[in-house]
Amino acid sequence: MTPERPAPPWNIRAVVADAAVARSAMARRVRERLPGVPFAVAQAPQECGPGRVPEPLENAPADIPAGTPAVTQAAPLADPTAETPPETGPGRVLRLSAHRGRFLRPCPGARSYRCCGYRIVHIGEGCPMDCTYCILKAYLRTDDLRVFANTEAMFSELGGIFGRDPSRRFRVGTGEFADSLALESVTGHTLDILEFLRGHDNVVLELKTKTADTSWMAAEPRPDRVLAAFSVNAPAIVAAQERGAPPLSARLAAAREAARAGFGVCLHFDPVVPHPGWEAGYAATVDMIASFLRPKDIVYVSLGSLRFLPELPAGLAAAGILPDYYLNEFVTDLDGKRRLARPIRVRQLRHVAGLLQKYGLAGKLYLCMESDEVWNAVFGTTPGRFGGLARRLMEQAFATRRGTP
Amino acid sequence: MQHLAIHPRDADVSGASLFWDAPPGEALVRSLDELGQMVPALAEIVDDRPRILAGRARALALRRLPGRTLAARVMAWPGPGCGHSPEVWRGLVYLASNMGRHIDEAMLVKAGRYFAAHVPVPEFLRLAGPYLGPALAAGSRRLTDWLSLPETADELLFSGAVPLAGSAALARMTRDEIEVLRPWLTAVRWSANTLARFVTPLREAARAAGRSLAATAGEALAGVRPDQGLSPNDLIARLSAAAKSARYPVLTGLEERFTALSRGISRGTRFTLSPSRGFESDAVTLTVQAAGAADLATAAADLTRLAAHPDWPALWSLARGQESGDAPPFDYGSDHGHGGRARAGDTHDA
Repeated sequence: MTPERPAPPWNIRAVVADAAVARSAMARRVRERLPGVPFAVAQAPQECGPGRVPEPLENAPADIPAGTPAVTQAAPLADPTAETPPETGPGRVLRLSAHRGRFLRPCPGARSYRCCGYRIVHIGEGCPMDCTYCILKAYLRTDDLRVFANTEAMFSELGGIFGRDPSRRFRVGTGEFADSLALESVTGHTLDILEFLRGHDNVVLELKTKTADTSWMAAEPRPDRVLAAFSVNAPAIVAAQERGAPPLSARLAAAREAARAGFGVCLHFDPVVPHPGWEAGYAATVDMIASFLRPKDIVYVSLGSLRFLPELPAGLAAAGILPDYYLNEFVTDLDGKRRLARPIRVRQLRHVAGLLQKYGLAGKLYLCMESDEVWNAVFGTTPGRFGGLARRLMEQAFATRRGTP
Repeated sequence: MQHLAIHPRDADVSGASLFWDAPPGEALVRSLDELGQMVPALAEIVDDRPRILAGRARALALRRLPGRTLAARVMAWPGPGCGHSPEVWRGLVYLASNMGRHIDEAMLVKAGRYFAAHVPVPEFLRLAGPYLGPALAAGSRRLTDWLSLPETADELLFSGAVPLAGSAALARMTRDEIEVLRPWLTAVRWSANTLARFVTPLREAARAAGRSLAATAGEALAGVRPDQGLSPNDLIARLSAAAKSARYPVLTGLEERFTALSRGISRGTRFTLSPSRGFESDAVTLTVQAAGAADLATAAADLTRLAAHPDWPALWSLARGQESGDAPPFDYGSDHGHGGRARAGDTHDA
């Protein structure tokens, strides 16, 4: 009797690799780690439209075993009976692509609001979790998950930038267009990156996630050069609006594990969502944080109000899944996004900031993409008065950790 | 094919499949009197009595003409082999006999209600489509939406108060919800757009607050009675404004206060004041037009006068005033070691 394979993570139904990366180390790992999932090779990335799975190539890469039947020649090594990837169906397509643009880029912060100065290491696009507020839904317009597997090119670019001047510090992260760790068990991407960064002490990497994945710690990076960052929210929002994401307690347990290993922890209340009972909900979350983490474990905490591209609610409404919180009072902001009317979001942000202040985190809080007016209303100060937000966060990111075990 | 000459009073004209028939007009009575019946009615025999399938108006008109008989052609349901139930077959016979007739939105709904009692709406659309022609092609989605409403909504359409396109705004409303809004819905003639501007914000406000539409509408529309003597346009504007205020209380409050304050400040000048988009910023935009040096000089004098107005601080802090709560002042630098301007170090950052 053949033992049953575990279900692939995130219900991945097919893997499609660009020919350029089909023989990469990451592609090999993905094939090994998703043994039952059809694997196909695409001629060129433009052939892979959203949601479409290409036919396997006539001339498969050399490391796909000879004798594999034509229809399955791009199927994984361990399963010669695997079928051609279905064109459509339940589950997601994981695309391994060769990224042709810059890997290191500034956060696409809006011009009219204060940005934290985070630099993005562009590892991929798309998230397997299904949060109703996710801005990626409108940005990417596809459910496919894309991971850039040409890591040698990425390390070549990053090495040139990070190595040019070792006194120049970088605060970078991989969690802007993707969850930093959601696909780690499949791709091993973060382990590769941490191995690469071992030679660059001037870089702090923030791993921003909703998962409870701590497997990256196996790379044994310098604890003061990695920030374990977790998205948190009110319990009702986690339960109802972050579909597929681990519960808050699991994330905080992972945060505690990272803190105990000496890593700094970051928390992101983003977005703070208006919903019935939100005051008590966010208070409960702060209480839960206090039960898992000490204030000194935490490097910084961001607060971001709900904001979205104007077309997002219509898409959710068409799918019949428009949450009630989209019925709040939103305005088109100075950069064309929709965000909560200023008085409402100030009330929310001030409330959550007050809770965190009582917990001893006042100096570690910042607002994600907010105006000076809102900074003043929430904190009574603006980034300009303390030398700029990016500078402050850089200092906090590189500060020597104290109180580690 | 059997033909009968029926005494008009013997004909059963109560069939539900005669969904469009209205009382006969004087013109039809006169025509039958002067020229006679030129097209036979259609009838089926039920319990030895002729039941009209098409031609009800002629039968009723002939009842008013003593001694006249109704010429009718007798038809019979072909049986299950025809693919339709007797009710659907009767409805199709009626539609076919009315082909070419101008069909309005009320007629679409009446036909839809009849068929929807016997077949799913998509099946009705498939069967009736060839007979309803352009009228259906223009609004099958709207008709489908309307047929999902309680039948009590139909009178709104039949009376002309609400168009078929209003089905989008009314979609999924319950009978009780329609009754709550009926006094306002019947007070004027709505277009799809004006109806949406009135109903949608009320429904969203109710949903957002977790309250009933009755409670939300009762509160929001308390000051707008349908019998206030307002013109239709004014009533629609008042109702829409009240609904918007219920849906966006914070923003409409800001707009109202800004309007009041800015009017006071700019009174007697050529300047108009406008807030930042969505009140995102405290900044106020001042606009003036100058077509020559004299205009410019006047504007400069106006600006000097404007600048001295005591309400400016209130205008600039409008949104901030809405934010005020009972939260204590925040001490941003209380528990960290980096207060004040950052120190220059031996590193630089990216």
